[in-house]
Order: sequence, then structure tokens, then C-alpha cells
Amino acid sequence: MKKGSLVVVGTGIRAVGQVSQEAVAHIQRADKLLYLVSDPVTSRWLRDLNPSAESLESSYSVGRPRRETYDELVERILAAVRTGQRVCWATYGHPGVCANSGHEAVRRARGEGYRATMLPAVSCDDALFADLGVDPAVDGCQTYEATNFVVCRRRFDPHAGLVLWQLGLLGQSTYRRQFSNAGLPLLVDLLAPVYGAMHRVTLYEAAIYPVCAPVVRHVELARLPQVEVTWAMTLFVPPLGPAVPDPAMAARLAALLGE
Amino acid sequence: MLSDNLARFLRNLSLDPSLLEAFEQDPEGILADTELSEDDKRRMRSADQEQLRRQLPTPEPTPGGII
Repeated sequence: MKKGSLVVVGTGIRAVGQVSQEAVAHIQRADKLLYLVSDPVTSRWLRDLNPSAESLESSYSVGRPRRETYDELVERILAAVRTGQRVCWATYGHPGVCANSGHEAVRRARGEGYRATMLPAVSCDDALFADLGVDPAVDGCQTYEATNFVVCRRRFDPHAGLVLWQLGLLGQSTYRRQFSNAGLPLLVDLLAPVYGAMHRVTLYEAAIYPVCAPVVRHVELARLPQVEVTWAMTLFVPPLGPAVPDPAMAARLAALLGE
Repeated sequence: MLSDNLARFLRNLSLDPSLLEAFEQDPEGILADTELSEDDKRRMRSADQEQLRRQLPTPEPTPGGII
């Protein structure tokens, strides 16, 4: 194993309060802390915890294709690891959910002979389940990135919950500060024939600061394109109703278990 | 830019449920005991995420995409 290592951690959704003790320990002991978070409170806290902290925000610029930015992030992380340092890469949310650069950095670091791990963290769907009172085990839950869902015409089960991440980025491949709902009619075209135009869906944005409530907007599918979306919004489509059990399958299962 | 005092106060609210509960019950009483400026106190009173986000200039790019 080469000298130099990488641990990838997440800072959760709410500022500072959702970081695991394990992640804090790695943040503090790193020789080099690289980070990208979405609020200034967490940013400052990270710099207090570890003076080596360096934000990689300079890899972003308006109009730059995200693909280029993600490649550069991975390169910058790997460059630090190759100097033989213990490197910690911290991002908001879960570092491996809607965050391919973390997975890619771990894969490449391991491929080059370095120790590399990723720790789990609180992601936006974890916050959604808590705030909307949804237990994904009751009806089941499907999750897709919104653009992927539309472009790939994903098949989905309307009797399970449906979570679409990054609604505000639907169809947008470049970094920008303004977000558009121009792609939402296409999403409605896919969902309305299955759920009905009047099916109520929920636009959700988790609270970042402890004094704030989460943003929760209920709207009929047909009205979705008229709603202002933000970059952090997730769409939750509740199930049409419970799935119907198949008695034959239930009987086969019972027979296998001797019941 | 975000002031040090406001950053510290928000961090304390995140990590101290007793302080958060006290703030929710009596925001003016808690704010009076802080060293926050009047501007910062006004930000805290808004308790609206979108407002707070606009009022706290973030140094980060709010990347949003699959980072």
C-alpha cells in the first residue's frame, strides 16, 4: 500500500449538525481537507476544525459543463493523495449520492494503490423521509435523478413512492446560478397518464439552517410546470394506493417456510 | 460576508437542541443575549430558508448537480 490515503465523507444536509462522529474524526486528522459544501456556516466550521481546509469551488464556473468540473475535482483530490498525505474529501449531503466524483476518486485512488474509503452520511432523501413522514419500506420507493428519469423514459411502479432528485436541474448539463422549470412539462407528460393530472405531488427542500422549516409544497401534477423550482428541490410522488398482493405467490412463500 | 458571530450562533443552534428550543420559544430573549449585530438579528428573525440564503452570501457555488 502506498503512502497517502483518501477518505470521503458527507456533511449531511443541515448545517453542521448531521456530521457523524466518525466523519468529524477523519476531518480533524486529515493532513489535507478538501471540501465543497453549500452553506457558509459549514464551510467556516470545516476551516475551524482543520486549518488545511481548502474549498474546491474554483472548479465551478457559470456555463462550464458539469462533466469537466467533476473530472477536475477528481484530479485535484488525487493530486493531493499522490503527495503522500492523508486526504479527506468532504461534501454536503451523502458523499456518494448525486456525487459521482466521490466514487470516482475512491475507485481511482484504489487503482493507484492507495487506501481509500467512503463513509455514509445523511442525504436529501433521508431528510425527506423524516420531514414528509414517509417510510419507504411500507409502499416501497423508487429513486431516480430527474433528467435520467425523463431521458431514459424509466419504467416505474405507481404503487410505490417515487423520488426524483435534482428537479431544478432537469436537462441542464452546465453549471448555472439560475434554475429553470422549462423541462417540467415533459416530466408531466410522463407522469400524468399514469397517476392522473390531479394527483398531488410534493416539492421538497430540506432545511439547511436549524431555525428554518423545510420547504414543502403540495401541487397537482398538471400545475407542476407553473411552480418555481430551486436547485435543491426534490420531487416526491406518493403512490396511487397500496400494491395488491398475489395470493398464489403468498401461498408459495408460505409453503416454502412450512406455514 | 457572513459574520463570525452569526456563523457561530447558527452552529450553536445546530449542535445544542436546548438553545434551539429556547430560541423557538423566545427568539427576542435569546437574541438579546448574543453579540449579534442588528443586521444579523434581522436575518435570524426571518427564519425563512430562502430569505436567509439570500441574506447570507454563500462563498460556495451551490453546485446542485451530481458533484
